[in-house]
Amino acid sequence: MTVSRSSGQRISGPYFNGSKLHDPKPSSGDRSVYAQILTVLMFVALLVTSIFALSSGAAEVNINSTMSYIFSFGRSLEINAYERVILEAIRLPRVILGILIGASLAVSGAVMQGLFRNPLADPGIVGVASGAGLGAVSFIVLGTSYLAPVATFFGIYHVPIAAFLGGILTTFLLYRVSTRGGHTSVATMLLAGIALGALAGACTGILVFIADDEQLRDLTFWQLGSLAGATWTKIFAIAPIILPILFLSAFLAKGLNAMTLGEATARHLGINVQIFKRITIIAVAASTGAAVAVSGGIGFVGIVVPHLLRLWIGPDHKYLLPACALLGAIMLLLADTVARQIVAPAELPIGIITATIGAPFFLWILLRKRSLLDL
Amino acid sequence: MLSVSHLNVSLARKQIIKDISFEVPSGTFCSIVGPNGSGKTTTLRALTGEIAYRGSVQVNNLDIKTTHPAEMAALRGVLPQSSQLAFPFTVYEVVSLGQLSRTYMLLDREGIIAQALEKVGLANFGRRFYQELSGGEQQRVQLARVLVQVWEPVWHGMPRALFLDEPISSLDIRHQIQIMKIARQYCDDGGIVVAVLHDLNLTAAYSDQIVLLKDGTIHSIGQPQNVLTKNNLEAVYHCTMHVAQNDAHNQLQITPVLA
Repeated sequence: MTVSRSSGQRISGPYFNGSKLHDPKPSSGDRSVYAQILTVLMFVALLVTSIFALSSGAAEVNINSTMSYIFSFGRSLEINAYERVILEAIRLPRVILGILIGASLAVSGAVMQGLFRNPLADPGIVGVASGAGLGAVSFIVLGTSYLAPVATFFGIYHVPIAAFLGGILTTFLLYRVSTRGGHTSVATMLLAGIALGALAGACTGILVFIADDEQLRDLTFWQLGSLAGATWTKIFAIAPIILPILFLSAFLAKGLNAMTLGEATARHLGINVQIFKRITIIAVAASTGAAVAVSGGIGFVGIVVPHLLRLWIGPDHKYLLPACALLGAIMLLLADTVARQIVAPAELPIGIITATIGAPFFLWILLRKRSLLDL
Repeated sequence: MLSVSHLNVSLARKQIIKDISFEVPSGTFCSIVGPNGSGKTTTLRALTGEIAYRGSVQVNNLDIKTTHPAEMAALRGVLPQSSQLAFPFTVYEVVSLGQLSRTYMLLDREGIIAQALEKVGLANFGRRFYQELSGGEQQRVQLARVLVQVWEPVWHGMPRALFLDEPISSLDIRHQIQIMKIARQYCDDGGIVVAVLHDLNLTAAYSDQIVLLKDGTIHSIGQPQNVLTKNNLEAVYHCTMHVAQNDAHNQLQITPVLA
């Protein structure tokens, strides 16, 4: 006997009588309508933020020119050649990179928090970002000496590729340590992640110690995170990784919702937990590796954005993940615009801005909503 | 129908369950009782596939080891002893987690959630945050979630099953009776309930079949009046018991004799 899953008809009988008697909306705790409205609003906000980010910076490009450029898809004749170069070669790649990285960081954070059932889990915490960072730093420091042959082989991509591999490697190591007989222990994984992160941090420390002055400047920028040096090449390098994962995350929502009740219950609700975990882990590792590879370690976006949104629209991942992508992009664009403006024409690493705003904000959320977060 | 044959479970190299076999026909409320450490919860966790076991467990002739989780989810709901929630879900959202299965494609989701909440006595709790509820209320929300998952007791001609691990242990007497009645009704409508219970009087009043466990083996199995006898209970619990049939209410009364 097999179970037919194509139950098409609406079943009537004693268990479905009264369904019309109730109007569940007024007293229900269903926040989906609110979530949908907020998602639309944030989409508009992202558009406004993008235009704002495009038109602000060290060089003068006024808002009208930016608008006509955007809404004519680059064919506008109203802007001059100077403005066109600034927009096309410098600001547009930077804004698009910011959107991709911001969305990826926030979604990876939300997915990892759902998987680990812990609102503090983040690729930065389970060592994936540290592993990716170690990969990058080893090539920045040793790229001209011990690792020179490899660095030459990969050309200008050697640092991003190293970061990407570092992230994937840490994740697989993490997975090997915490998986026995096809069962992954979330607690072991969290603790192993902290240990691996510390180890990667220590190795990075040694490399920083032996680095020369010029490398140190590169390293500082990398470790604090920055969108400087955004190019179309970098976008084409990471978009094929980040975009499919963002779309994939929509299919993870159901499983992540079930996982909030624990692995055993998720299985009883119909999720094939082991396969689900594998897919999720690989997705997070790949998108974190890609993000760290081009922008370094930008902290707090992956923790603050999902937290805020859970308070606003609830923790249902069906709405949470797309909302995270939008708000992550908005926040990173705003932070980057501040980073570019505050000490213009020089610029601050964006990680400083996200940490300065993010950390106190995070503390404030913890203090205010302690009972809801149930740490 | 649930059939269990030669079930053996070892945890940390110690054999907890020793060669248990029994069957629960459709329409039957089966209670698993026994002292602490006799293997009640372990048995239930094996029956739901949460822990490794030797032997065979079949729900409607589907082996639970080889059946896809999604197919199993359409056939049976499981209420754990306690549930912790990682994020601030509302009661409505927690109950709606029971509707992940594809069997819910075209049904009236909101109506069913409202009815389930009303059944467990939490009709106006939809908006409340799960984590702000008392332990007993949380347990009833979880029960509503499980009920919603397998809402009709018979589905496409097949009985569905509820596995409940101590569903009433944190409830007051009124809600204990309310939950036992829900389980009873589920069986009367053709479903199966397998519950781990401690309260012998309520168990006797509502169950069709009782599995009395002792040290990981079945001490006795059958109808309440045949299993919950003075001799059986004294042998299993090691305390003097008084068992009487209250003729006025046709109800077994089981009380320990306090020396």
